[in-house]
Amino acid sequence: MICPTIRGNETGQPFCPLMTHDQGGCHDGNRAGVRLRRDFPPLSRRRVHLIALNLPRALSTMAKNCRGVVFRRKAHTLTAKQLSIRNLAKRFSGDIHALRSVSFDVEKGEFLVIIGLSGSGKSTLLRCINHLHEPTGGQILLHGQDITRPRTAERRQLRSRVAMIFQQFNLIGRHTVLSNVLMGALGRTGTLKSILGLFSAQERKRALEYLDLVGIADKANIRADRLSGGQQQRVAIARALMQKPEILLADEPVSSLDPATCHVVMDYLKKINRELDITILCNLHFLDLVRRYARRVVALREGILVFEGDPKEIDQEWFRRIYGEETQDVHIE
Amino acid sequence: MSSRPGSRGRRGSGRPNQHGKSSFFTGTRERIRPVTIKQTIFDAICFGYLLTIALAVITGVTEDDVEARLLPESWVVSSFLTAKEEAPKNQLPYAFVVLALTALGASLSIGINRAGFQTLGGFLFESPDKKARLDTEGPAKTWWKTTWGIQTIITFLVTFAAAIVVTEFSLYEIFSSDGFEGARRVFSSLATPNFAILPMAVLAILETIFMAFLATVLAVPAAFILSFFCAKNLMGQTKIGFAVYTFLRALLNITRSIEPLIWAIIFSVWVGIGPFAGMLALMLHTVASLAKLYSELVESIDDGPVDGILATGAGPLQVVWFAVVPQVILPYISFTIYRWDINVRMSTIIGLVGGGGIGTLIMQFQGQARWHEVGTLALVIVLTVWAMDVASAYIREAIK
Ligand SMILES: Nc1ncnc2c1ncn2[C@@H]1O[C@H](COP(=O)(O)OP(=O)(O)OP(=O)(O)O)[C@@H](O)[C@H]1O
Ligand SMILES: [Mg+2]
Repeated sequence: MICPTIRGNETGQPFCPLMTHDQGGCHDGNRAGVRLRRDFPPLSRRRVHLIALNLPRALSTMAKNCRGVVFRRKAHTLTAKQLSIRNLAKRFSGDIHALRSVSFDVEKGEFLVIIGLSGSGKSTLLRCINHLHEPTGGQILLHGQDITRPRTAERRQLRSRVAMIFQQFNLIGRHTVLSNVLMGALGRTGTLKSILGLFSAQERKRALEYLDLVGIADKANIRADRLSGGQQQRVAIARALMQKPEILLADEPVSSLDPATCHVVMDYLKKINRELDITILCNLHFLDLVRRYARRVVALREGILVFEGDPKEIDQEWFRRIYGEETQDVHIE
Repeated sequence: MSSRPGSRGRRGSGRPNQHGKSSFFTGTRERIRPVTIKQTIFDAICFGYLLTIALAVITGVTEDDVEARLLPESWVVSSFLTAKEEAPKNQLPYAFVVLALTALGASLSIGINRAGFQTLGGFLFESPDKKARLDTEGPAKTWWKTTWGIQTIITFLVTFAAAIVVTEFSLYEIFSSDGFEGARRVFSSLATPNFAILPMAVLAILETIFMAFLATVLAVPAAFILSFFCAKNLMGQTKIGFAVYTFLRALLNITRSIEPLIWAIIFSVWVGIGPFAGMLALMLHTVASLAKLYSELVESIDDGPVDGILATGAGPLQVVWFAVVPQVILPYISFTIYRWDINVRMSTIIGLVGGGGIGTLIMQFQGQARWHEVGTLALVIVLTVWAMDVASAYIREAIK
């Protein structure tokens, strides 16, 4: 398979995004690659080209030149992960490649943050995971089970296992806060029952508990559009919890909030991550938030995974690789 | 025709003028405009229309003598057809002339676009991403200096002139003393209504209002349900959905484009003259127009809540109920009230063709030239419509 992830950056200094997995190359869902020394020399453009044309040969060349070793991972070591993304690709009509080839794994209970420039495909990635977009290539595995192309009923079931919150909160403004939270239970409530508003007393009780958890139980009977942004996002979190999810996707949950409220909402996310053991995949823009909350970071650039690792590893150098040369003056810290 | 200036516009002949040189003839637009089917059809009709009118003016042919004057008997096709009856014998050549001019228009369009100038069709049917790409390439001209702008202006002026000729627009007729006298007589009778028939008029207008009310109330549920099937954002996702959408849209457009007056005539043959026929006509038309209005509301909703509800694992009906309906319900109600208001006005008209209500009454009195009585009815209608209008404005304001 030709690896589409190899390309030079703007400065002509070729870099190889596939180097980022354990400082080694990886292809085909992390199953083969070259493990390199930490201080591998920069690859020449020619060699990068070569890799793309002839993978097996390129791997051995790389191994020789970079004094690394070729490795082959066994597939089953990966399937134990809660969520595995393998070479995920998404092309929109009009030949827009929002995701080219993204592979990474998520372990249970992780707080994974996805960073990258605007338009790098972060939202697309999250929306592919719960099938708000259908991926056009690659695989998504949930506990080793392929969920890339679910049937209609499976998709609904999947969505109730993988909850999502959004930058714009996406509550139903004309309904009360409580009824918004109850909507989290739609996936397991019959259509007619839910339309008539016949949620069970037990569901109502749980909804109130979750509202309590995010600290706005007193607002339960207010219309949702009367709340402030931070409060609305907390209602959205309660709605997501109502789904009893195992994974929570958060697409820029704090981007339309002020810095103080930001931390309130992020703290609630951290809390549910710790206390309810819900895996969180979160898109963020601000590196100080990333440093503070992320346990692991993946970075996308133009639909390619360019970094994967500890948030502390993102130094000036990586920052430029992720966000482009022109942003080098931005102070991180 | 190939109106390519030089060989510049030929496809595949490389980038034109890479050195940024520009002369008057080549213009500054050094890019080949793509030629698409849609834009060519549009331009063909537009240019064909302009050329036809030009030809008609040059040859002095008018609507009335479209029979004889344009072409000599030696016209190939006409001699072939003259054997038949009188009327249509010369019609066909005219059709051919128009078709030929349309074809000429098509090639004109292709030529102009190839030459690097954008016709109106090109402007209208340009794909959005292409538009974005081309727009970044140079400073935009003022719209009326562009090729398509000039085309728009010419088309508008020609149509305006043609419309004046065709409608026999005449200031003389308006101010002629005969006509003026007649109008004055009718108006003065109308202004002195005969209140003896007031009870009758009130009963008739009640019938009209009930007719409008029933038509609206029966139409709303149908339109409500249809509207979701006619919304592209809900139906465009799957192939079957899109087929249903297209079919329903076409059906409703046809229903809507036939005036309620015509429907009333059809139904009065079907179920007999009377308020029932009028009500059915109104209802059908109301379903079609409300479904269209409603579905446009559905198409303009915010996708956020839909995503939010979808992400909970909700089914399609739940998505519509929880994410779509709350966003459209207020405009729905306000459109519905507005529609009832329209229906009251329309049902008076429908009465004119025997649809019952006050319109039928007007027809009877007007037939006997009893203008005083007609004046009473007109007054009642004016008052009712005015009251409805005010009420509907208030209600719509209140629920906003
Ligand atoms: N529904 C869509 N149809 C077509 N193209 C889309 C669609 N959604 C996203 N894209 C394109 O996919 C690319 C990635 O978009 P995406 O929204 O995933 O970026 P992002 O990283 O979330 O950016 P941001 O930080 O601004 O939210 C963009 O080029 C965008 O234009
Ligand atoms: Mg985004």
